Amino acid sequence: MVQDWRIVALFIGSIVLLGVIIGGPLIYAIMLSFYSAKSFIGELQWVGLKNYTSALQDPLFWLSFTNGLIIAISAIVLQVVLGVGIAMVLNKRFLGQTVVRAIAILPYFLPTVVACLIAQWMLDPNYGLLKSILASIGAGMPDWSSHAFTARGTIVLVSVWLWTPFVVTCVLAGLQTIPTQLYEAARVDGAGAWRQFWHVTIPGLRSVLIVVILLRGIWMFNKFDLIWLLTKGGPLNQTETLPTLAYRKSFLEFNLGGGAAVATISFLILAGVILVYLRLFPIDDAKQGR
Amino acid sequence: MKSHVERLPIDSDAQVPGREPIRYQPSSRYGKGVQEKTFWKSFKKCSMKFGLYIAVLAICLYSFFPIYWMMISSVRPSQRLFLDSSLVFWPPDFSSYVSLFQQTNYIANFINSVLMAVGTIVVSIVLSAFVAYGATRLRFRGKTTLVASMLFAYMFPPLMLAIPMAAAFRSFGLTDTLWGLLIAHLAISLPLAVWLLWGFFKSMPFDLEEAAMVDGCSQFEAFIKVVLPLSAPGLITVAIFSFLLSWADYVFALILIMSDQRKTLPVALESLLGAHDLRWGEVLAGASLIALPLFLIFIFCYRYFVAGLSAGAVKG
Amino acid sequence: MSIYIPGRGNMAASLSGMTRRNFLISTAAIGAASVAAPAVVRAQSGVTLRFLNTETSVASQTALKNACDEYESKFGVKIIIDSSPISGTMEKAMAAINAGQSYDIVTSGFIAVVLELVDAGVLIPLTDMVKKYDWGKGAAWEYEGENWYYPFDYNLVVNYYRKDLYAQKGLKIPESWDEFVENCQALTVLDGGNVDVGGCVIPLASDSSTNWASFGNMFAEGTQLFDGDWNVVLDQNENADRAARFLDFYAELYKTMPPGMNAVGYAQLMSLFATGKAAHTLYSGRLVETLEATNPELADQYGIFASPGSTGQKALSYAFDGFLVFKTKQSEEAVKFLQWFVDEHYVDWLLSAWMNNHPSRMDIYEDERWKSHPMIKKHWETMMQMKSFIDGDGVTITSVDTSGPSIDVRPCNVFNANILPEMLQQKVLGNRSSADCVAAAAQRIRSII
Repeated sequence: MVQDWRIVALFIGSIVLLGVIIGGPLIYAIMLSFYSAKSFIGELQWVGLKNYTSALQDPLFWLSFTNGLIIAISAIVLQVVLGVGIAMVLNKRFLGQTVVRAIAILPYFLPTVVACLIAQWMLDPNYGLLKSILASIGAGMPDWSSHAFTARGTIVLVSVWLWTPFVVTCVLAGLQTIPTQLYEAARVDGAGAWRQFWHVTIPGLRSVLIVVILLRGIWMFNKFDLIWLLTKGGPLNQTETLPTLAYRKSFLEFNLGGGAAVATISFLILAGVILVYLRLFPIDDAKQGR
Repeated sequence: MKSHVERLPIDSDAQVPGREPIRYQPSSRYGKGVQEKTFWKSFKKCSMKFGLYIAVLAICLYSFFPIYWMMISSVRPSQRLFLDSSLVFWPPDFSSYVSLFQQTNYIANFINSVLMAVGTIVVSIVLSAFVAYGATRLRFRGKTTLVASMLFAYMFPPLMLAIPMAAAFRSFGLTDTLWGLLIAHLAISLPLAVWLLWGFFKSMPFDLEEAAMVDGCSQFEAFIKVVLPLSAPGLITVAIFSFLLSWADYVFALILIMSDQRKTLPVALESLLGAHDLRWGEVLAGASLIALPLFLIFIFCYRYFVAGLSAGAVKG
Repeated sequence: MSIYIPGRGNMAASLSGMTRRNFLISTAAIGAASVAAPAVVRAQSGVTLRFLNTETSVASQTALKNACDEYESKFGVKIIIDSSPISGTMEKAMAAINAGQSYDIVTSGFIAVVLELVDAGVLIPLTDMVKKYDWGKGAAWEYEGENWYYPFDYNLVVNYYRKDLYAQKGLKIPESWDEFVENCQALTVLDGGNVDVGGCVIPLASDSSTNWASFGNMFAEGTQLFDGDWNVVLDQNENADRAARFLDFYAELYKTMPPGMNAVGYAQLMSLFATGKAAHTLYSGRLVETLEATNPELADQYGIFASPGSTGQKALSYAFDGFLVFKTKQSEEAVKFLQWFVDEHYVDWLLSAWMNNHPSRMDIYEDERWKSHPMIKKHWETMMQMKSFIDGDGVTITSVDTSGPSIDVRPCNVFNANILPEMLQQKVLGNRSSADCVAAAAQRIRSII
């Protein structure tokens, strides 16, 4: 095949530009993790792996790591389960289907800041709507920000509300690709709705779900703004995750090297997990369908 | 590409006229006469329909009520804001909005946000189209690695990219400029853009370009005249994602922008939050005003968004 | 000026160089003229000063803007004002320096912030300017022999109480911890097991507001973080007992506080009191302004008192607000402007937040224009009460970031690392024993200083 030099030139140019915009800061941040920059404007001092060893010896690092895992995994599981459920409903025929589908996807369009504000406003333990509702049925309002379970739960809840629509959209699209004949065949075999779901729908959605879980996994594990806006890592670091810890070190404790080291370790862990994931569920394979 | 909305729904229980599915015939244990069977069947159908509408209603409430609550709260007068939890409020009181405009440079912030979004969309589309096309059509080693590395760029906490950026921008006089913020927004939107378009181009048969090239087009012309127009849904999806990432970003804007005149909307709103006195009225008014343009765009782009994202996710 | 420039390394520089070149090429290629960076505004004198203001009320912003406009028309020096919430000053000022666009003048609230900046070598001393006036107790503090900022107020954290509720329940102003706990318990309104109206609000979030507001009672007890030689003594001998007793006292009070204390910051400290959700709160004079603005009825029903110790001692935590001048190539112009501003507009500035800006410069108390402001007249009694706290010897005026034998960066680190707020969290959220919490806090202080 003759390759057009313009295509090649534009490709290489764009790749270089991309490398600089994305790779440049990334490499610099990794480099920073080998230096001590205690104050934001102090001298830069080579310390080798010291930032890494002190990060790995810090119990807070491991707490943040497990918190991040718990929050990310529960959020992803709920997003996928709820997303598939909603998509199944929206896939049926009913009055006003287009409008309802649009409404179901609407939260995805909200900026995180706005979603967090809405959550704080509705869940405010003193003035919130939830408090009024609970009071009207005689129940007490939980002090959600003071307990590990409820604080994590709120983070998961808001992220599920905000990002399930992404799953819904992808799954709805995936449902269209499942050939009708498969359902008909299953029906002929006497499969009920439930068995059709497990034996036709879920395998049919495999390729979509692999990509969706991958993307949502990366995003959830690196989530910073949502957690920071809702709990700032509290109570007692029970919602601290690696990104918030990195932020805390860099911007509140003015330990840029330490923050960069945490970010780099977090990056390595995630990259490792993703590599295993891709080995288990190859995307190329997924693309060929079921 | 056809949006799935127009397609027929495919599900076991959807009753499509003229396509009555062959039902599994019940065994003799249940065979109690045709009439009763029909009654039972229509009862089941009715209750299924009923259940479906309950589920649909629940989905609508779940998705929309929080947004509604934000908007309705923003038009309550500030004295009643903390006390009133009625579902409707009439007449609306816009004093929070007035006060918001007095306290912040909403117009300037809005223009900044729009500039950032437009810039991110345009550059993302152009660059990611070149990269994704090259990655699917050019022959070289490590193509998959290249695209996978896009994903890996996402695995670094985005926040930590802001520090080196701030440092680098200093050397080039991009500090506290919208140009600098644009670069940051590109850094978060480009990986996804390449990823989505890569899926798109990959699924597009090469025959189309080949046909054009046989007709005398160069590959570049074929790319511009054949491939790009056919990838419109994909390009629109990239545009929407770029827009969302840029419009919603507050981490980069917080770190890279200092001047009040150059702040984008989320940061301006966030400044309100950190003030000495938390004014929920203004905050909710500001939040509603950030959300409104999004919803307008959403109404126009919904179909493309769904179609493009679907294509990307299904094929990607 | 020695400022660390990240990206000075060869690799980073060449990478970054590429950024710009390619950025220009690509933008030219796509002709994206839609995004235009606003041109830098230059005044005719060629001098443009950058001012970071943390007083974000409309009145204060207007007062500052008017002064700056006047200065520009008189001297041709343009002043660009940016605003930032008080809790983000440090980050913002640091980010600006790091990005090579240092602010020239910044308002700041905490000694912890000022000393961090002094130690980073980015401030210039304002000793000559400060020395021209008499200042209230502790306001004109020196560090390394210089004054580093020009104060405009005390931010004393006083206890606010509801006079109407006190009268209703027949309570009197508490002189001891026990009395305070009793009052708070008496004023707490429960609703289905939840606190509907809190007895008091003493924050515990990891935030500067907690460092600022929550430790008056602890200091009243005479608790020391450091001895005279900067050894950490928080967990030793009588200090360990005092701190542990304070934590027990705090845990008792915590039961009377409204829910959501973990998320309480400056704004909520005021709004909970102003909306009647708490019978006591802690704040500076700004709460009076908020009451006048949002709940005028309460503005006639509040009173203030100093934080009691366990047996009648008194203390108040505090901070200052003041102007800092940064070391830039136009510092001289910045000092000139600041001098003009405090000569011509100081009173206007103070009156823009009339009650919060509780003067630390003593001549203001004699200033006719200041005294005749209607709101200051109305709340004169409170203003004088706050002044008496500073004038007299009966009340210990101290704070987390000024702990220890002298003004030093060590307690500032304790402040910035939120060690004491976390001690409160360990006690009431982690349910640990008071002694454990104190020991853990002391250990963390040792590890960071």
